[in-house]
Amino acid sequence: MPTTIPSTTSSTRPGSPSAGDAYFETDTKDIIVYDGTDWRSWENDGSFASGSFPSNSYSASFDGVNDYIDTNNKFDFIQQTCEFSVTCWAKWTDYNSSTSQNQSIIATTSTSSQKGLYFYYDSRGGNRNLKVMVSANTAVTLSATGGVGDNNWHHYAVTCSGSGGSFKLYKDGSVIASGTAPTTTSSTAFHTMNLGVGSSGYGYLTDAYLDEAAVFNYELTSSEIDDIRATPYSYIKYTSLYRLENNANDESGANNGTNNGATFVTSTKPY
Amino acid sequence: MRTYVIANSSEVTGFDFNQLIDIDESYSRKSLDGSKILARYEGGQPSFLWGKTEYTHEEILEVLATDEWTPDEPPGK
Repeated sequence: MPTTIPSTTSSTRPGSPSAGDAYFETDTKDIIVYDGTDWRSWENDGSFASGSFPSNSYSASFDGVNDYIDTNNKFDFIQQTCEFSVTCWAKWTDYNSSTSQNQSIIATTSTSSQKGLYFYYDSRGGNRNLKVMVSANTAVTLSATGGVGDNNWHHYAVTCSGSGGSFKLYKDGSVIASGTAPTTTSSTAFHTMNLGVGSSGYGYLTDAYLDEAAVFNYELTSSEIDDIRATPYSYIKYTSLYRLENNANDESGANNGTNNGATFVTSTKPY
Repeated sequence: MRTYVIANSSEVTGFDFNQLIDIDESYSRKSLDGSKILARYEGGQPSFLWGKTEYTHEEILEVLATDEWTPDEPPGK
């Protein structure tokens, strides 16, 4: 006998669910399950779709010396389609430190001569610029002076709409730098995606806290970025999401990370 | 509290990474020419590192910012 799952909609989900409650969302066609803390969603074709994560207990502390998390995946669609987004929360320990270096946030390369993404804070030689480079057929870098600006938590997003399309850097939901994306390349990235280091073995490490780092294979809209950085903290169809809740696991389960020294802390977090 | 020391890379065969923060040699940070390796630990100094100069977090950041450890050419240029 078939079992009929009760139905709801994305705007009328039950307000006080119990762990294990499951519904069919008639508007999104997704199956949603409450895990006791968050709603998890699956598309009707079985692929992971989205999730809302209002509960956040930990962030990850990176010492700027050799702490980093290796996602073990190159996410080659970044330079092969130039259609992607990455998002995360970040808080620098001392954004104005006299010790100058490039501090990587999310990277699959750290040089324009190698393909991939390099999202970093440039504090070299008195610079205080937040930068993001996509190295595909060519390399394009966006730079935002004052993109960090203090030692508080800020939400950052990088979006790219496709080959030769729109390339944007967001801070707290506002575009702070934009340009034209490079054209695509069939090449693979320099290395697997790391959080907290540019290219392991070459420095460019971050002395900061990071949280809720996500990768998408499409361009997020500003509205979707707002949904990520504030209530309901919803991520739609992410490829990988590292919530850094006392581990380096990917919420999708596909690309669990390897943690080399980053410390998970409850003392500071973005929400 | 973390403590940092610098050793010659040839000494890595004597490291017990169970007493260090880095997972293994492949995850460890080395000088650009590969001749030196950074070791990190919490608590007392492991016996295989005895006698080596200990650095605080602030001190080691200054050391690692030098050309010996970090490439001079800014990436993304």
